[in-house]
Amino acid sequence: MASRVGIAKSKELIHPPKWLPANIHYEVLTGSVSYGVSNDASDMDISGFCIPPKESVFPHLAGEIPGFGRQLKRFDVWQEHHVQDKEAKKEYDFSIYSIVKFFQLAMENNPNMLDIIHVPQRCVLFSTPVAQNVRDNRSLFLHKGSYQKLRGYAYSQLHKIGTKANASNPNRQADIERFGYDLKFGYHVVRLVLQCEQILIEHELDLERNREILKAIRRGEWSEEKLRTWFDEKERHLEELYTKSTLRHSPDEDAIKELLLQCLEQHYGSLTSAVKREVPVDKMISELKSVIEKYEGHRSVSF
Amino acid sequence: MKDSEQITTKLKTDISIMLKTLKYLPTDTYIQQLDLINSLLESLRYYSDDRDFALFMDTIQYIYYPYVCKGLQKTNRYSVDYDKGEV
Repeated sequence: MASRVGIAKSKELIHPPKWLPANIHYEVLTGSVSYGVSNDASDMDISGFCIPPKESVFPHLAGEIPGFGRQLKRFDVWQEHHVQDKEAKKEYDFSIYSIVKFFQLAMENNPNMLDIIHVPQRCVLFSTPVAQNVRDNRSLFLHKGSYQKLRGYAYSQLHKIGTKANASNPNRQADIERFGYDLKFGYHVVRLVLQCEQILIEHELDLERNREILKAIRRGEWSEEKLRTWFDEKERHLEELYTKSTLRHSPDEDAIKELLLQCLEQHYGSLTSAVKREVPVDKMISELKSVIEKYEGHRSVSF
Repeated sequence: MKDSEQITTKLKTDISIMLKTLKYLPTDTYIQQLDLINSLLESLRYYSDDRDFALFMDTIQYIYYPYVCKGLQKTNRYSVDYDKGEV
């Protein structure tokens, strides 16, 4: 199965770095499709991650000394928006991250990255065993820092509701004129707050859980006043939840790094020449010792 | 050679080889191999007499155990020199 980036590249619709199409590991539909609230007119937001060439991830292998001389260009993300596929009558927005950048942002509980690893299976367009490993271990990334991140994004969307003009999008301008506020900003406020609530209580994230509420807002069934009142009440509720939640306070960086190294090793092969990795020698020795000690009574000299 | 002797000789050889190769293994495979060694030792204890088994356990304690420990500490396979990129 080819990735969407690969297909779009073969049609000459996009212009990613040359190495990228062959090194995509994960591609998913994000945005309204993944929340279960899309309509036919919705854009296709395609997001995911790739693994860049080894020298981009480990520049010292190419002879770079950090801070001295010419530094190799790091690859963080490739984005291309408003890509028209006239054949399929679709418009695509692509955002493909380097796996390293992706892990860093996901570890910080960036809401967009959390979405990418929690999209429902039907939204997964392309996935390698590396990506499956990341999806299987996605609970590693969630921590209480998501409260600040998601609440911060919700505030930002709430602030934008106050802007009563959207010259770049006629449909949304029409919403403002008809309903008094931009419904899209409104539904994002509610989505982010409900996602935050779900993470703090359940330590999991089901993106489609709140689709009926979100659809109602997109239909204009919530007034701006109702939305703001709801937000004020939920905000107090979230503060209490944050205090009570048993979700880990901060990310387990060692475990996430180990997962990243596993992914890189699956892609590149052995990393012995690229990265310093601690081997639990003491633990390995003690495991061996415990096997021998089981037979203590069967030796002529004690251990 | 009796059947039981053949079995114990084969078991001792297998266990010895597995112990010697432990130091080259990554952590997860190391644990799997230890489990296997453990089950082979159980079989060996079943088929061999007490004295023979005790002698073999002495060999493990005084030869293989120090050999594996030293190997693990020395190899430390993923601890590489960052600048040279070599083990």
